[in-house]
Amino acid sequence: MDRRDCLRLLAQSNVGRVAFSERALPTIRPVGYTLVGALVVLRATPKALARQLDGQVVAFEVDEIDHVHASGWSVLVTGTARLLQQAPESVAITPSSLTGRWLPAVTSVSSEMNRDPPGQRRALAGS
Amino acid sequence: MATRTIGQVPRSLMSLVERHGGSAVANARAAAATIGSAVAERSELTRLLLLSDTASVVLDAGDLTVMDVEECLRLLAGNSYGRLAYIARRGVPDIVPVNYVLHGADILIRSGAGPKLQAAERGDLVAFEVDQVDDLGQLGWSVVVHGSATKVSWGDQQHLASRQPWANGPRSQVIRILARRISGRRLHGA
Repeated sequence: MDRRDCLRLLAQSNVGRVAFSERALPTIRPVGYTLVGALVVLRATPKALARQLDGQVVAFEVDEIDHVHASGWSVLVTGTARLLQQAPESVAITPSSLTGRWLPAVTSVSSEMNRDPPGQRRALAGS
Repeated sequence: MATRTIGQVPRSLMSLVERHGGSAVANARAAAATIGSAVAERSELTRLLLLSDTASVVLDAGDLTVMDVEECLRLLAGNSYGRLAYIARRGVPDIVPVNYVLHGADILIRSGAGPKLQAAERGDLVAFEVDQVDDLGQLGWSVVVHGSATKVSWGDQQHLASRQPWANGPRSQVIRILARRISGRRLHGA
């Protein structure tokens, strides 16, 4: 998946998951977002979380699985999160890497277990 | 102080600042005022930010209930798709969507060779999350399992396979997250 595909898919959705360190342990939580150019702006995060994310290298993932048609995609953004002074409770992630992949037809654990090794994400130069 | 505040403005926003504020953005107040004028001019950035505010994706903004472990386990048992967060390299987190099986309070994930299997081989602490959140992010729930990842041995795999409705080929690997903490929140929306 190329960078344009990644951005196009990111623009389609508005809820993703952000992974970050909390007391030196990885954690993950769902969060709303808006894509602004190539900037991912996490919205309406509580101030405590927003401050916690500020300056951290975080991963942000958005995916969509269509169980009916057994298809899907996953896009991963990695970058440093910055508190937006102008928009309280918003955090911007400037992607240092943007990768995406089409997910194979996975509708059950058994098909997951039987399929070949998962396709690798292809890393693309970030901005 | 002023420099620090301006420094926190992402680079892509700085071009916006410069476009609307000229070259003399000397302090944080000026930067804020410049952004403010951008709001007035309905720049693409602020328009989207305002739109997002209108959409009010409110997660963790207070309208949530902490769930007990029993409810968390019930939700984990009733789903088969989640996201694994782990530290892939030099402190950089990664998130991968995965299918899983709940085994007791542990999470079993099929894996091929790769960074997440390496994390399991190191016994890294990981986070695993399952959620159902509506398109506006206002209603739903989220359960997070924290624990150490381990690579399941072949003997254990056979044992598990006999108890689970899936078959393992000889090349498949299974990661087991030994749950140390399970937490969940339910979102109620506005």
